[in-house]
Amino acid sequence: MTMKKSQKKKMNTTVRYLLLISISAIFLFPFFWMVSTSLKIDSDIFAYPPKLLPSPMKIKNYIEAWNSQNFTLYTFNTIKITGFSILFSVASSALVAFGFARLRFPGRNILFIVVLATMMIPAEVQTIPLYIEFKYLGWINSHLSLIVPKLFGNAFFIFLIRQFMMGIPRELDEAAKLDGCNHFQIFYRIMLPLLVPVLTTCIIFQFLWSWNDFFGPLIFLQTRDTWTFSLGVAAFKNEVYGRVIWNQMMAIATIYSIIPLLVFFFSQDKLIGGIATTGSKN
Amino acid sequence: MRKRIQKKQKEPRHQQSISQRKKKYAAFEGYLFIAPWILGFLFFQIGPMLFSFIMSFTGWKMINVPQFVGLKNYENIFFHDEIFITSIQVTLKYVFFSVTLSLVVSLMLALLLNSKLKGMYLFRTLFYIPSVVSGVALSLVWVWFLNGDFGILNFILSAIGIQGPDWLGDPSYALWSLIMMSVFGVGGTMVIFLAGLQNIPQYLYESAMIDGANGFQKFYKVTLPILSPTILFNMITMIIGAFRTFTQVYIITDGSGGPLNATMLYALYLYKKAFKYMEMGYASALAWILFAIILVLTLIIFKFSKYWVYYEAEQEKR
Repeated sequence: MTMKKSQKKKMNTTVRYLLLISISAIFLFPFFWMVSTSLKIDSDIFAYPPKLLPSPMKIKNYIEAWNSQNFTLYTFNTIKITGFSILFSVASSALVAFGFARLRFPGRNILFIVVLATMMIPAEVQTIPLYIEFKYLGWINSHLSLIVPKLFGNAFFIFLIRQFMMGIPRELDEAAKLDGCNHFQIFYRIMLPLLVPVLTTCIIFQFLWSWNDFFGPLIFLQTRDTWTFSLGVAAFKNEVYGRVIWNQMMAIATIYSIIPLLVFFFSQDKLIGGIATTGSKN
Repeated sequence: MRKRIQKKQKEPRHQQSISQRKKKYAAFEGYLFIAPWILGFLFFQIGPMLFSFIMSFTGWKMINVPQFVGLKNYENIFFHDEIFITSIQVTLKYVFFSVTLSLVVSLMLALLLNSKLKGMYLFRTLFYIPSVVSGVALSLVWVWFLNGDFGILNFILSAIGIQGPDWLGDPSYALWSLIMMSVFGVGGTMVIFLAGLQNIPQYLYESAMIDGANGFQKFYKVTLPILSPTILFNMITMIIGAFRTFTQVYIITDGSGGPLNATMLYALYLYKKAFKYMEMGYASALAWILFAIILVLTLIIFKFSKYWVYYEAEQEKR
């Protein structure tokens, strides 16, 4: 009887692993195909039957693709926008979250509900007027259009950080107050070090959003000298349309994807942990 | 006048005046801390929204002076704009199938990942990866993948004797290709389901087992009800996300929404009207219609959710 049960359990486990492995293969195949194509020589791209692995390998595709547009400049622009976005959005969100979590002022709860409500508004309603607003400010074709709005906090981050802060005992604030700290000092000296886990999650999120952003740059950055990596990658398709150079296009797509993949790889437990806490708190 | 009276009353009660002043100062400090958000809300959210609402009643094309046209934009959209009608149909079809499929797939993956086996960490990561990589790069891969003549998908299909279609070139398949692609982005939803699953107390399963429940009954009677608030949350965020799908379809169709408008998703149509034809008034009206659709749909779902979403707090009342 027990033997049967353990046998059944063993089979169950095997079935599960088989399922997991085959689904993983399906999920990863597009990437595998991207990297494999990026290394193929021109005549192998359309080979039939398709070649799973590139042989001979043409690493030069990467150099040719990189030099086909000013990708060095795009990279610099992307790093600049992403860096400032992270700094601004996380710092301002932490400040605002502190206000909501620790200070008392009339209308606090209603304002916090408004913060949450803004998460539901589709950006489309705001994008058109923002475009016009930025046009008057002279921010079209300037990175300011993507950086400056980040100074004013992000509703999702404010929510996330506030939730985290609610779990930090108030006695700490009280003790600091007795030692003569003002609120900003409490925020800066006591809270910030304790917030490191949740801030890390926010930093990773903002990195992924800014690095992968396509819609924002597409609308606000129209001249090539301001372009980001995402625009350059997308243009690769139009540029050579009619005679798409697939291997070079896949090479650029690989370079573009490798950075978020690396960031994800080294921070996955923090990211998934962060998402999991948000998910369970809804 | 009143102020002076208050002042007079307070002066003898010195203590109260100090605490009052302290309260006021604390409030001032509070506003100071949340000032960044308030300013951003005014200048980048509510201000633009009001402006866009007003613009939706004008015929503004960026080059002319905006003139008030009343409900003309809305009238034209609903009664004279064939692409709008097509786009609504296409979008609803996309939202329905993409959200349903993604919900089912992400829930199944989460269930699979929730078992205590070795290497779950690795699988969790693998399933999440497509959600990390940019939509631009991913879409380019899919264009290559789905090509009718030399795409690998049709090669695989031909190996099992199926003649694959020209996925992106055939109007009857193009939207399905997008729906198929969207299922690969279920990582985020899956993680939220996983978190929900891990919060289910083990004793519920144990007592179900004592009652003689089989695997399916345990899923149907324990897992699903407890997970229902998470399903609702995921459903709503996914519907909003699906209505706003833009990057994939823009890249795949070169911004055309083709073939024959078969993939003219609403967000793409809105983008074209606003930033390609510069019809800002008309596009603003389109944006507000989108907002209304999402709002009404969300409210309907909330309304009907009481029939299938189970909250533990309610149960306690019995």
